[in-house]
Amino acid sequence: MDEYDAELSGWGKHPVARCRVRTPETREAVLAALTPNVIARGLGRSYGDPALNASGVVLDLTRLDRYLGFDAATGTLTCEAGVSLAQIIEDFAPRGFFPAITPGTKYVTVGGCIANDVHGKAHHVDGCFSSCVDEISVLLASGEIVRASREENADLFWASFGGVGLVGIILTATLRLRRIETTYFHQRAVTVGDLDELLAAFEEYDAKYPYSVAWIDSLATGAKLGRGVLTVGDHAKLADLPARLARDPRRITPPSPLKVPFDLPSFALNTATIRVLNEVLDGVQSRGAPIAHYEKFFYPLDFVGEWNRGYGKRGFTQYQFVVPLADGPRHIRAILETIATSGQAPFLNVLKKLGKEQGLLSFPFEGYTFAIDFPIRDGLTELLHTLDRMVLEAGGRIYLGKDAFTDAATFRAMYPRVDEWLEIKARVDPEQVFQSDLGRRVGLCG
Amino acid sequence: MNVVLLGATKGMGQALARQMAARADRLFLLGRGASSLEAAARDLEVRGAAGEVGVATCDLEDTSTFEPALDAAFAALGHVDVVVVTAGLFATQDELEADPALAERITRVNFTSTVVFCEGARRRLLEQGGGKLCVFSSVAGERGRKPVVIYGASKAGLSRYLEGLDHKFRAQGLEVITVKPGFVKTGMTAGLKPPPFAGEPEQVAAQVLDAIDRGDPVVYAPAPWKLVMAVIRHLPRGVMRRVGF
Repeated sequence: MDEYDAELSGWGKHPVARCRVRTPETREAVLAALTPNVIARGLGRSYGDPALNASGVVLDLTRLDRYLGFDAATGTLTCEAGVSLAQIIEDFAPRGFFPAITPGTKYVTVGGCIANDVHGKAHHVDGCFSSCVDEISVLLASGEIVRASREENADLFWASFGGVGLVGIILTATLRLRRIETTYFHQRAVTVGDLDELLAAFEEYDAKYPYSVAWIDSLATGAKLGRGVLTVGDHAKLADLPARLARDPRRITPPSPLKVPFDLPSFALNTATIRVLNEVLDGVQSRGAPIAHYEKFFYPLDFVGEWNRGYGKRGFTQYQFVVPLADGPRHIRAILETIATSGQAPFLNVLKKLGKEQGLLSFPFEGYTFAIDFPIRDGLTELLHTLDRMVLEAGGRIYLGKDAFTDAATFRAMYPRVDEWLEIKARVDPEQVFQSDLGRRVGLCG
Repeated sequence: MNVVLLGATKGMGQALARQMAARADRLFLLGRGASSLEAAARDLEVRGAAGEVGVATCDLEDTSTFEPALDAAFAALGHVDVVVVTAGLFATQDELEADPALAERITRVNFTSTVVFCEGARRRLLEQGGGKLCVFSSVAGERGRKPVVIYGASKAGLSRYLEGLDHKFRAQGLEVITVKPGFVKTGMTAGLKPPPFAGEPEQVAAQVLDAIDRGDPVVYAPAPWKLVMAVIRHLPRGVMRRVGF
C-alpha cells in the first residue's frame, strides 16, 4: 500500500492526529512522494507533534534503512536516514563500534537524531548529535538533493540540526562512530540528600567522567528537595571486565520480550504509585553494579517495550527545560516547588548538567536541564504554561523534541536565533512545502 | 553461495539478501531503479557480502530486460547456486475491481512476466548442471477467496508453474523452492490491519534461507500459515461464500 490514513501520535500519545501516510522505501520513491504540505517521520519517539501533519502528508521513512558505506579505519559510516541507532548497535558493536552520541532510547532514526539534534548523558563532553555528523544530504522543496557539511552549504547543515524536519527531508548522513573495546560501562552511583549536594556532585564528577545523569525524587519538597542519585560512568576497557564478561566483551542484547500489553488505566499512576516507583528507581540506581551493559547504562527504559502505555489512554508529556548555571539553583527550587505543590503527578525526574550551545535551534546550552514526565490530566496545560513563564524568566528554554504545549510567542522568546533559521527556511522552502503540527504551533512554518 | 536476486531492494527480498550477506554469500542484484540498486548493493557490502555486489537493471514489466540482466548476473558470478525472485505487485481487491488496467497489469506481472523470467533462469541453471530457483508466490493462491480474487489467481498460476517445474526438472539438478508467505509486515502491506500470525520480513527470510539450504519444494512463512491454509483449502464452497477471508 503506497498511501493510507492513520491516527498518529508521538511517544507521549498526545496529541493524536489523523494523517495521510506514505511509506517510500527507496530514494526514488521519496522523490515521487514529495508533495506540498509534507513532513518526514522516523520511529515516532519525539514526544509531541513534530512528526504529525493533520492537514497534510506524513512520510514514514523507517524503510529507508540502508548502509551506504563504512570505513573501519576511521569508523565513518554513511547510511540512509531511516537507519536506527538500535540497528547500528546490532550491526557494528560486534565489530567494535558504537554510536558516538545517543539519547535515552536506541529506537530513534538517524534522521530523527538530526532533526531534534539529540543529546545524551555525555553532552558536557561530546556536545549534541551534530558533533558526530560530517555530512548530510537533504531533499529540498525544489526536488533538488543537496549535500551539506560544515564546509559546504553550512547554513543548510546547521539549520537541519534541531530544524524538526522543516528544512527538507534528510536522506543520508555520514557519522563518526566511536571505537569501543567492550559494550560495557564502568559506573558509579552517588546518593545525594538535597539539591546543593546534587549540584556539587555534578561539579566534582563531571570533571572525571564523560557520562553523568541524576534521577531525583520529584515529590520531595523543602529541605529534601533535590534528593536523588547521580550516576556517572565511562566505557569499560577489556581489562576492566571480570573474566565472566570478558569472554564475550562486545555482547549485544536481543530486543526485550517485555511489553506493556495495553494502556493502563490512568488511576494506576497516582501519587502513591509514583512514590513507590521513585523508591524502586532510587534503589536500582544506587545499587548499580560497578560494570553495566550498555542496555542498562544507556537504555534502561527500552527494556520494557511500549512503556509509554503505562501512562494510560490520555497519554503523557515530558517537560524538559534548561536554565543557565548562574542563579540556576534558585530557579530550579522555585520550579520544583511549583511542580511538587501543583497536584499534578510528576514522574521520572531526570537532571543533567549540559555543555556548550551549538546550532540555531538546538536545545542544549550550558546549564541544568530537567526532564519530568506528566500524565495528561485536567489542569496540566495551565501548569505547563506557568512553568514556561518561570523557565523564560530564568533565561531558559524548553526542548521541542519533547514539547506538545508551548505557543509561538514563548518559543520565539526562548530561541534567540530563530530568525536566522527562518531566513534559511524562507530561502530553501519559500512555498512552505515542509509543514508539521509542531511547526505551525510554534511558528516555524506557515 | 553465489546468488542472483530479483527484487531485493526492499521487503522480504531485502531481508533475505541481508541475511545472505551476513554469512558472506556472493550476491548479484536485479531490479528497477538504478539508484535503489546501488544503495542496496552498498548496504549488502557493508553487511558482509563477499566481494563487490554487482547490479543490473531488470524490470518485471518489461520482458526485454530479462535476458541481458540474467546474462550479466551469470557472467559476473561465474557459477550461480541460487536465483531468487521476490518481485511482484499487490493491490487490494477493491482497487483491482475498480481499475481493469491495474488488474491486467498485476496478473501479467505476477504470472506471465514472472514465468518468462523463471524460464530464462531455468535454462541457464540447467545449462551449468543444476542449481536452485526460489520464487515468492503467496498463500493467496491456495484457494479462491473474496479479498484476493485477482491477486490470488495470479499467484495460483505461478504456484502451479513452479510445482510443475520442480516435478519435471528436480532429477536433472534443478531444485525449485516455492515460498508462500502469509501476511508479512512490509511496505506492500503498510496500512493494512495485520491479521493473527502476521510475520516480520526478517523472520520469513530466516525460514526461506533454511528452505533454500535444504532444497524444500514448498515453504509457508510464517510457519502457522501452513496450518491455516490446510484448513482453508478444505472448507466447503458454501462456507467460503459466506466468510469474509
